[in-house]
Amino acid sequence: MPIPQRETRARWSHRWRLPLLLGGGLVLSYLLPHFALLSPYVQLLVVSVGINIILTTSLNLVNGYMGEFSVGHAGFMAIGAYAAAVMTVNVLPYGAAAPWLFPLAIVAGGLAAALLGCAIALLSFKTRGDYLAIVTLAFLMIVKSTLENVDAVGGARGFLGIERLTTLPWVLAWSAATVWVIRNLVHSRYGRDIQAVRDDEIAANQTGVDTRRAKVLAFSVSSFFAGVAGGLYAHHLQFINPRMFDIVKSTDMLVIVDLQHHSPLGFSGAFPPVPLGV
Amino acid sequence: MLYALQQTLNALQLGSIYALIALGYTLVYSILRMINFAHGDLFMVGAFACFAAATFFELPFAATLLLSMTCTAVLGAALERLAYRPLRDAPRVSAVITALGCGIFLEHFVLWLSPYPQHVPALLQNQTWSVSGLSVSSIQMAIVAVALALMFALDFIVQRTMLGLAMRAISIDLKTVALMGVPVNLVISSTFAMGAALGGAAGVLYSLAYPVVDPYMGVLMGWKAFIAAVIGGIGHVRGAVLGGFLLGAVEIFVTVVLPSTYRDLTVFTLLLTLLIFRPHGFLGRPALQKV
Amino acid sequence: MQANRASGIVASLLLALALAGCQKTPGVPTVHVGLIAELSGDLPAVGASSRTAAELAVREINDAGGLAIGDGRYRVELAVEDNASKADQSAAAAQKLASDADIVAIVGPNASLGAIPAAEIAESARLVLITPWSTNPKTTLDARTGAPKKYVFRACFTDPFEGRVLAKFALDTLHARKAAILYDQSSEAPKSQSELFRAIFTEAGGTVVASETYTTGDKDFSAQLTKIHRSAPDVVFLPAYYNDVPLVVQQAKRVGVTAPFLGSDAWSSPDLIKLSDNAVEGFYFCNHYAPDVATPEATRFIHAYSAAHGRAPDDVAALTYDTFGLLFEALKSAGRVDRQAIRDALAKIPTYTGVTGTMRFPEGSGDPIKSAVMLQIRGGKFVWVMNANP
Repeated sequence: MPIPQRETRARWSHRWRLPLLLGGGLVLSYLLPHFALLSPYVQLLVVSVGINIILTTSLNLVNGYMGEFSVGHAGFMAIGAYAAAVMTVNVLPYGAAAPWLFPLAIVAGGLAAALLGCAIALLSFKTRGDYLAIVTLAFLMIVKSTLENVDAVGGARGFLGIERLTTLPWVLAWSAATVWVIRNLVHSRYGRDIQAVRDDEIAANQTGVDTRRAKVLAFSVSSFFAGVAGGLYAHHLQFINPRMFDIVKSTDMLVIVDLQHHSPLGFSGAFPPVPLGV
Repeated sequence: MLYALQQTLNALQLGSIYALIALGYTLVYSILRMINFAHGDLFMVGAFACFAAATFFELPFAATLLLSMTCTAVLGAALERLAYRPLRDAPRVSAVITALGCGIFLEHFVLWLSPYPQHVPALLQNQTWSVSGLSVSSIQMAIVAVALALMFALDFIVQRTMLGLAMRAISIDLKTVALMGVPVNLVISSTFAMGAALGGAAGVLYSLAYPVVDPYMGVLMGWKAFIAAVIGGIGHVRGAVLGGFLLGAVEIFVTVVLPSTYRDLTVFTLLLTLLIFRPHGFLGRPALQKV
Repeated sequence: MQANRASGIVASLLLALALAGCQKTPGVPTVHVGLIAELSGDLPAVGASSRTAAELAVREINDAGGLAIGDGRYRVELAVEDNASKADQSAAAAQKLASDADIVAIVGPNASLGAIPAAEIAESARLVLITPWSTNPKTTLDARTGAPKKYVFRACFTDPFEGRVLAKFALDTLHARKAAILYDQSSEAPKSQSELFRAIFTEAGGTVVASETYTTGDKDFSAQLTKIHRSAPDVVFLPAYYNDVPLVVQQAKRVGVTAPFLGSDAWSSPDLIKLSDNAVEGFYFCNHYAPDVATPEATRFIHAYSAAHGRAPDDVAALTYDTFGLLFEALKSAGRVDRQAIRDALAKIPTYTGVTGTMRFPEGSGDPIKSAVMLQIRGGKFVWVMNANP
């Protein structure tokens, strides 16, 4: 006779809690500014916080879970910002369609950044530790200097005339997407590969972990979301110039990510320091 | 030909300052395998000490230099004792955050003391001599001379004294040297102090050449000098000197040939290329990885 | 799970705190004006002058009983924002002020690098912005179409006029045939001024023998100055802000440059002399007003400002004072505290006479037609040399 086993099935309310919360948040984020229930200054703050969440969560993938020391995050953000801005200003049709084509521009920004993230990952195969830090620093400066020399995007004086397309719902949606993707990635097989690289790369290699693929994946995903954050930032501030994305910005992000590691709140430790950072 | 020589003089001046700051990074890295991100801000403190000495006490050049170097040496040793020593066995990330934090603290402290950029009164009177068409400035010569003197002094200490021997030993294996009866903490503090003193001296020389100081001047200089140290091979004292002069030369000659906007771009692209093909710098040794 | 809950609680707490701070105190009818100034960063002297002049203007009007708008008398209150002499922070400051419904107009930023992005944002938010000191034509022109902006005005002349004044001065008064230019190519005002100077100088028969650039934040100019020295110019045009000039001029002497330097209105801060230790003695530059040949109204302002601030006002202070005068006049003739009404009233003002002279606004443009003055640095002071009329 088979031993009866107690069925443990998650209650439906537990399963749906998170999606409902998110859905409610999305609706709220649309209604609050629409009916002016929230002071505009607080709205600015919340948008900044959201963008910072995307940045730090993506940076945490490389710096935290993969244990590499990357200071080039602001460079990916810059590429995303410029790519998205060029899309909405020059490529996509201007006018009423713009708000609906906005996610396209953001994704384009993310992809552009991810492409360069791949390149950095390739460079990281041979360099490790402190040298990787310098490689990423050099990359950041190269991105900044290159943008300063491209007059078509305004050069060092900046890119003007970007529309204000970043709204509270978009920020919430993208933050939620970032956290969801990265969390799922980390808990997956690929995530374990990435953490194995951090723990002991040589041992991981010996046990058959494809460390190269792990590095490429980590850098690409991380830089994709950095690019997304950059695109959102550009359409929030309506102005970008290369100087905004320099080493100071990278250092700020590093500090938040590292504070997060030592905070008892775990991953959401990004949240309290981020408003302080703002 | 003359024009090239003139630009070489400019490169020497810039290179000397980079070399001095780079030495500070390299000394600390060689013994502790730690990048002291607050070093650029120590350089800034040295420059401000020079400003204070010249403005409020009206000291002559030599006294200002000594005062600056002493101040930064003490500050460097204090940083080591209070901020870095407790974290010697902690994970790398903690040391990095602490270093960054110390740097930010120094910047904001000086910002609180002096929110506006300040002008440093001239410590040395400039004389420009014309040597067969070449304009030689006494300030340029002074900077290069002082920097070289300090570099030779450091090289002497590292190669010919017991302290230097201890430093070189610690850079090979810290724990074993401690077992050999060497006062490791004292040596590490001295190394920090020396590196910081060199950074402070660089600050004074910088104020001679560009007499405006502001609290954030150390950020970019610090990173560039760090790159100079890496080019020469981080952890290698002579490498830092080489790296500093190389960086100065590249910066000046790129500005000669291309518009100045391409300067940073070229410097960093060269750095990147160097790192891909020779990650341990020109004079460094490839690090062996033990499994 | 617990982490999410904890963070949710923290988030709500923060939000509640922020919302709580949104109470508005009722009482005296007030009109709020935003001021974006370079209080920190590279150009703190500019921001300090601007703020002091703004506070003086506001204090004077409040002491006189307030502004008479429509039927009531309104107090004026300043909302000061710091843009740290940076373009992105100017944009952020403009966003913040634009999203505050109480703010009826923005004064500033002063330097073109900040004024241009802030102007774009003010235009898209349909909020009046008047810049006291920005001379770059782009500030009042739409970035995409090049048409004049509707909501952005300025209190000073523009670069095309200034470039012409300077080029003519170089040719006629300094008798220069060969000029060298050194400018910051990452900053709006110096770049446009140098381009205009080059065009007008060559058109009038001179030759530009060297044109060198640097980036904001650069401290070493020895390479560029050595190149300029090699080209043996009669004059060196240096449209740089007051914080860069001392470094350039001192290094120039060291590499052997003997030609005189010619500056733009960006030189005008009294800090210039303090920072350059007399290295700028004898050089000329263009400015918006000369304190030593002031009208009676200007003299009154100079006395009031010196009493409040301890030193004579520079052109930024004078222009900011005039900007507020312009704004107050627009508010009075608008008759009500409303962003659109203020804009319309401002656009209808044909001329305004202030501390810096008479400015005449042509139809449909926010750029006034004004005279400039050429000043020389003599004995550590700015001395008037001549007027330049449009």
